[in-house]
Amino acid sequence: MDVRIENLTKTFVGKKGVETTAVDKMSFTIPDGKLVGLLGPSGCGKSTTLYMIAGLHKPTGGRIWFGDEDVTNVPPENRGIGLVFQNYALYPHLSVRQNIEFPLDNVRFPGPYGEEQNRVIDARADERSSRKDLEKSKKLVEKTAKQVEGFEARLSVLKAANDEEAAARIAEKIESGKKRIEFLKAHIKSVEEHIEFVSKEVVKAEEALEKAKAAYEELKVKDPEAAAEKARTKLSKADKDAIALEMAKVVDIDKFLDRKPKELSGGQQQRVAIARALAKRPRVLLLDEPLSNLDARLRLQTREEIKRIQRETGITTVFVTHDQEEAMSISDFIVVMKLGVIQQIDEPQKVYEEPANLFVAKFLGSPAINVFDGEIKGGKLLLEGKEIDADPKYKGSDRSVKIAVRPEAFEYAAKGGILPVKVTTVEQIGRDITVNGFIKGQENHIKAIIPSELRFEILGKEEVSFKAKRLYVFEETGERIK
Amino acid sequence: MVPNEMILKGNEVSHEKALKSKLISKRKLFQLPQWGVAWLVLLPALIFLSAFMLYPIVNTFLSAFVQHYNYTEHAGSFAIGQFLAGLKGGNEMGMAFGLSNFRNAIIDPDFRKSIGNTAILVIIEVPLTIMVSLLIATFLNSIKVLKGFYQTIFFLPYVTNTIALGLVFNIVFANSKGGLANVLISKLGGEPVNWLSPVNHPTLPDQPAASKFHQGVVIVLYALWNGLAFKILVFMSGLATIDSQYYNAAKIDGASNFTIWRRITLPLLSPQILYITITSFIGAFKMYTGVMAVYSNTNGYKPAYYFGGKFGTDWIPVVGWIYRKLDESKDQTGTASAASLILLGIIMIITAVQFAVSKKRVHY
Repeated sequence: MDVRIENLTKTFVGKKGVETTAVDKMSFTIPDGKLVGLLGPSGCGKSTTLYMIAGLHKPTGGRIWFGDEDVTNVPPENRGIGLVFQNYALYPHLSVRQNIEFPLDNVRFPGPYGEEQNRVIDARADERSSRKDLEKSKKLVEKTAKQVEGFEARLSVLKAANDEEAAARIAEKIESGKKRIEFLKAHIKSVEEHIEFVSKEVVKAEEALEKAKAAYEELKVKDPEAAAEKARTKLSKADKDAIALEMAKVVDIDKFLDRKPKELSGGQQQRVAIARALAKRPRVLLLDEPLSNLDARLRLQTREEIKRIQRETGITTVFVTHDQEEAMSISDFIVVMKLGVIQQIDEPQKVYEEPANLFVAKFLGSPAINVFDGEIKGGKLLLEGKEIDADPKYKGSDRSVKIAVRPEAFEYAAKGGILPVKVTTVEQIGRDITVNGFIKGQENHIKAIIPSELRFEILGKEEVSFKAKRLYVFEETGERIK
Repeated sequence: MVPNEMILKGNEVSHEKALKSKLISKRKLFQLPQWGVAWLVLLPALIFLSAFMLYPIVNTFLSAFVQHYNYTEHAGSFAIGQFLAGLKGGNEMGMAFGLSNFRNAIIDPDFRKSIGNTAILVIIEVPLTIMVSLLIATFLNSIKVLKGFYQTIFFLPYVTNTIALGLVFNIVFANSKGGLANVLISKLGGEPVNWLSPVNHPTLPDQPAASKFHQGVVIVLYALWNGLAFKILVFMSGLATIDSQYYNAAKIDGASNFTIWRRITLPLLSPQILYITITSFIGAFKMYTGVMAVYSNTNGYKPAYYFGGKFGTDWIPVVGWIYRKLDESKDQTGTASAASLILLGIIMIITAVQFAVSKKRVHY
């Protein structure tokens, strides 16, 4: 089931009528069976988007599609979603099994002839409303006709008094009145046709209902078991228990089915919440900051679990996070958001290696990317006056730009490096070395990560020179120059 | 602060002298330890409690178990004192330990009637009031507009005086054709009713004296009105503590509003429901002003002891019976005390049952 949102907008109106736009005309498609992360800083509208997909918030504009179905106005319980809240929202007075079974308790089947019954009800309602419409339209025709009569009388009076202007105005009103009557008459005709059609439908539906009832009676006699099966409107306890056990096994919580939520650890509670969301086999699974309540070790463990569960069940999954490492590690796609606007949608590695703008480049990657102020002059890229790159893409007028280099993209150059760095500290963390320093003339300090074998050449030096394996250039407005 | 004389050259200060001065300024005749201060502060309240609660309870226990216990005003009010004085004075009353007071109480038909009346009132009024206040609290919690306004209206009975409320009910259910309730009934097509009075009003000459049923309706309505406010308050505060995420989660799980109320709201509200149930039952068993307040035409009886009907005993509650007994004569004190203890026993049993049931049904 793919999820498609089109021009989705959400504005909140606060006190004194101040409007805040949380989500601004967002459009994207989540392909079927993929795990997609909505990533962004606090306040970028990612949770709001998730809740609109869930149906808990009503969008101010735009539409949401689940597959072919427009679910924008469908209430959350009918959309076929499962939602895992940030604080899990497990019912504290119910056991784990009862928590997982809660959505199953509310499942209702139409019963032995429920669908036919619904058809009859719908047809009858349609007929009733059409008749009301007809009445209203007829009355409106009468009223308008009277109005037109009045106007025509006025017209003759005015013509006798030779008042051209007023006569013209009245003539206009008469015209529009007459047009209105034409339109209403056409409408009445179509409604009458519709009523004919619908009343036949009602009869057909009633007949179908009678047939279904008779068939059910027969079935009761012939095969009472099958009849009882058909007559079920709820799931039986055995069914519910089986489903709960299955879900519990998927999330690996089946040993704790009789415990209460407060007797479980945070990670276990979260798995129960996931099981509850999956119980009704939803079309889409939504997770709101699933890992933010867990400690660091548990976080690593649980995000593997989430990936595994998603792969096993194949459900289209959307989750919200502000932790870029988390999003990078498990998503099939990342949607980077800022202030309600999508910045980039792509696979994690692409978002990391080919950021669309400076915000994305700065948001992903830890430690953060190093940003310098540079300029383009005469088709060449200059940093502190020195040319560091030449490429046809640096065309256009001379302007200042931002140059960004990832920490791990620094390459130590004994000589001939383009980036002279004055060293402030060197951190050795075993696997590699972090060189903290700054380029003369630049405001921002830089972090460079280089292999630890090079520490002998670095230590003690005040100034070190680097080459950049890869650098990104961004306009002052933020977009990348490609 | 260090006195000026202590400051020597420049800013030097003699620390020894400073220390001494501190001790002198803070020294008292005696220094109370922490627990001493606590007892001192509690003492006034303890004195009052002992005098007006503990001591009467002791008295009651003693006088209940003493046959022919005679309470005479002039000999002071310590029951023990009475007892010993009586014994010393030759014991012409024949005071002795025994259960005859209990026997006297039980064989009195009015006492048995009062137990029955109280039981009926409790069984009807308490569940009714709790259910109505639960519903009102739920509705109040879900309205957004004018919430404070409605809250004020529903809380007004709590700040009104009980007797004043009773007077109003008395007037509304007056047994004339013009009484508000009767007017309403006639407008709806019924016959005016004699609600409370044992004798007829000039405007209703043919009506018989007020039946027990009609009086009971007024008493129950009055108790309902009086009891709603506080219960609504407690339930509303309980509802406010329920995290709204549970409602969101239940909605997504497809639960209807009624299912949410029954399976989420009520269980999470169960501590408050238990508290209200226990205190309401206890309060209802002790009902007295609620029954007494609605009657005005007391047919010659003292208003405080009139509970409906020709002899004032139509709806006599247990506490009312006890007061009447005390009013009869001073030598009935023992019987009255015995009746109080019987009431105590009944309340304790009911409360114990409620606690036992609560273990399984209340979720904290």
